[in-house]
Amino acid sequence: MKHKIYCEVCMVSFIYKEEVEEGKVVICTICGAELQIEAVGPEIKAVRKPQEAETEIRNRVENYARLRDYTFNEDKELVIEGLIGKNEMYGDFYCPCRFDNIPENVCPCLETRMNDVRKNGRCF
Amino acid sequence: MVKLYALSTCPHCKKAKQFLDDKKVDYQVVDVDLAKGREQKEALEEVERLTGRKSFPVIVINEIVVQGYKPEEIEGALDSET
Repeated sequence: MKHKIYCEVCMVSFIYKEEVEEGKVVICTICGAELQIEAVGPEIKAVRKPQEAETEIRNRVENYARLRDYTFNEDKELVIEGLIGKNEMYGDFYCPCRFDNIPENVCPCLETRMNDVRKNGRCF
Repeated sequence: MVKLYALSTCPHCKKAKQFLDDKKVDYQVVDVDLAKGREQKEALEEVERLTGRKSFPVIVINEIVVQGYKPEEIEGALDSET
């Protein structure tokens, strides 16, 4: 049975083919975010899995890279450090190299999700 | 004249500063996220005018604009400046 789950990180719904139950952790197939199912019904409610900031963003970028078959370059740790810094200062994992702290710049940002990496060879 | 527009949170901006320091380049830097009021507004407008976006670093070497940390491009622009 297919389920549609809304991801609050990338603000898009994705199709989830496995069984769903409250408390289950699922990975958004669009952005790699770890979500926890809060309510199962006609509409499935999932929220960001409560976890320590560094773990959350590391898991997310690892999941995303695996989903998209990307590899990390030597800047990985520096960028993760920048993301953690922005999360501490502005409350979410906004891209450390973009000025606007807006939802579309939450990592992995909209441009990256729209295949920017293919064009530029790296995420921005 | 060399000008670097940066964000204090951006690791690539730190690398760009290091690169210019290592090359002993005399440059002006604006940490746009730390700048206040009019200075921030003008810097943002300039970056958007030059690159069409508000991503950093942006390095301006006379007329040449390098968007992102690209050492070869920066070096090429510096060479053409002298």
